[in-house]
Amino acid sequence: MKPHKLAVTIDLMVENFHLQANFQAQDEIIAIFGPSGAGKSTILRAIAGLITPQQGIIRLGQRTLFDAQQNINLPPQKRNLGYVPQNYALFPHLSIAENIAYGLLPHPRHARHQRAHELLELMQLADFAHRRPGELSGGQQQRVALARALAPNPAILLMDEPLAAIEESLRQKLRAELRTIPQRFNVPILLVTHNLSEANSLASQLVILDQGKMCQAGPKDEIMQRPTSPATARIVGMNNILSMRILDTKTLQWDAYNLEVIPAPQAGQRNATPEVGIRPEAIRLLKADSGQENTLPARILDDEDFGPEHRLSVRVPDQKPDLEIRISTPKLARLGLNPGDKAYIQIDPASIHIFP
Amino acid sequence: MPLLLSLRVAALSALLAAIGGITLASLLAHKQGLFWHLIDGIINLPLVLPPTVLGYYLLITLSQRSTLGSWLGNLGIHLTFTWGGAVVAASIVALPLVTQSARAAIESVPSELLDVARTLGRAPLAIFLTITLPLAWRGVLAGIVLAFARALGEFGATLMIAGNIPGQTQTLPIAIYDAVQAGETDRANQLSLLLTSAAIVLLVSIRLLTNRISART
Repeated sequence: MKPHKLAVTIDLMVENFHLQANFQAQDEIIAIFGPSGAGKSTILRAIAGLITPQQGIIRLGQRTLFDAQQNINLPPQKRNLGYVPQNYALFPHLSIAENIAYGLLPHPRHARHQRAHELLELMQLADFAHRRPGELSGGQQQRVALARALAPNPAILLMDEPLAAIEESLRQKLRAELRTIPQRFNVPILLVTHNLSEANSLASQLVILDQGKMCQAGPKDEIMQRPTSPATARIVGMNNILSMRILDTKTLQWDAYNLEVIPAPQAGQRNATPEVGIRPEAIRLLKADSGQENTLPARILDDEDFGPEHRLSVRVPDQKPDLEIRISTPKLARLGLNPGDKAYIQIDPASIHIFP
Repeated sequence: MPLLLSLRVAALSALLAAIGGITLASLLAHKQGLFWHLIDGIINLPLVLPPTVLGYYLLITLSQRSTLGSWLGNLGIHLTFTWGGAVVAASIVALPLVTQSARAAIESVPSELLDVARTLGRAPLAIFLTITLPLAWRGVLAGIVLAFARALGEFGATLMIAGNIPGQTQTLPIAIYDAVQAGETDRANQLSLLLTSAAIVLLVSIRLLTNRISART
């Protein structure tokens, strides 16, 4: 059973909130990402049938789950999807085995039993079959929630902030487990998160949502490196937005400096003044001018220490705006630079993204 | 014996209040808006109205001369001045107690559990029976016990609709009133002690039930 192609069109009115999204997904894990209040959980609940949109269409593979114009609105019971809310919502009064078997009622008792145990084995929970959810750890609870959702063989798995309730030390392990689910169970996962690193770690495709509107959807590399607008860029951490002028097919002018850029901007755009985005990781910090292209003098304004890496704010004299750089702690230590110091920055020519 | 009569009346009233209360509670749970607040208000009226007012309303709706009363009379059901009337009176005052408790208990079941249950394909009634009730039963039971206690102590409305007929409608509270009127202080003491002890037992049970609820959450 190959993964279904999910086509989603939503136009939803919720309180004062107009929610729009439009994306196609065939890939294994898709992450819907955006700041709080962007409407991410709302979209998930609409797909699950827990909220009824005012207008729009929701299609899953060949099935239409919702179509306002044709008066189609399948109840959640009939949508054949798995739903895992943020805190897993395990039934506290039922055993693990009973939780997993809860959605299997159409099947005869023997088959239910078998399927539940199959999943218990697959999730390495066989020893816990008769325990209650309250006795399990966070990671085990996630596995139970997954097993329960996957037991009826859904066409897609919806997860709301899957790792939000998990402590830091367990997240990596659980992310690794989550990544294996699509192949092991032949099911795509649509998850919602406000954590960009997690979205990147788990998903192959991202859908960026901001204030109810879908800004961009596509492979994660595409979105992280080539966002379609400065607003989307900021959401995905491309925090350096600059105004430049296109001089020729390989040069941009940033006020007093000329920068080399790869790939070449389109011909016939000479003298255009587009906005340009540069990711903080794409700017190197140097102690001295090494003679490479795109090296500019800069002064360090501010240093935010995250532990394994630092975020620096630097200013190129007489240039606007200030730039954000990310550098690993060992590298910064080797350079021995501090706020107030003069240094050099080098901007990777292949990482200067011109907004369309 | 007033005790036996009281217990019978209270038990039947609590049962009727339970059925009605749980149904109303599941209907009202999570509902918003003025309309539902109004319905809730009407159900709660017996909590606030003086028992004599209630009794009076019952009398005029159920007496032989009223439409409802004569219709019931044709079916062979006479409620005025019978123990059936006592049951009606006690049920009506007990109903809001069950409704409120049951509603709070039902609403305390986290909605995510119900959401997941729906996505797993279970019908609303099945979800109510397998998820909501098992998780809410303590609150519901506390409401029923409270209803029983209230029904046991019903006096004003009962006196008006059912009267004071020994062996037929003379419940414990009415018997106490009767004894005081007649100056039979010993009897009044005994009966009052009986009723008070019963009430204490019931209230302690309610406490135990609701404690278990908070202990779990």
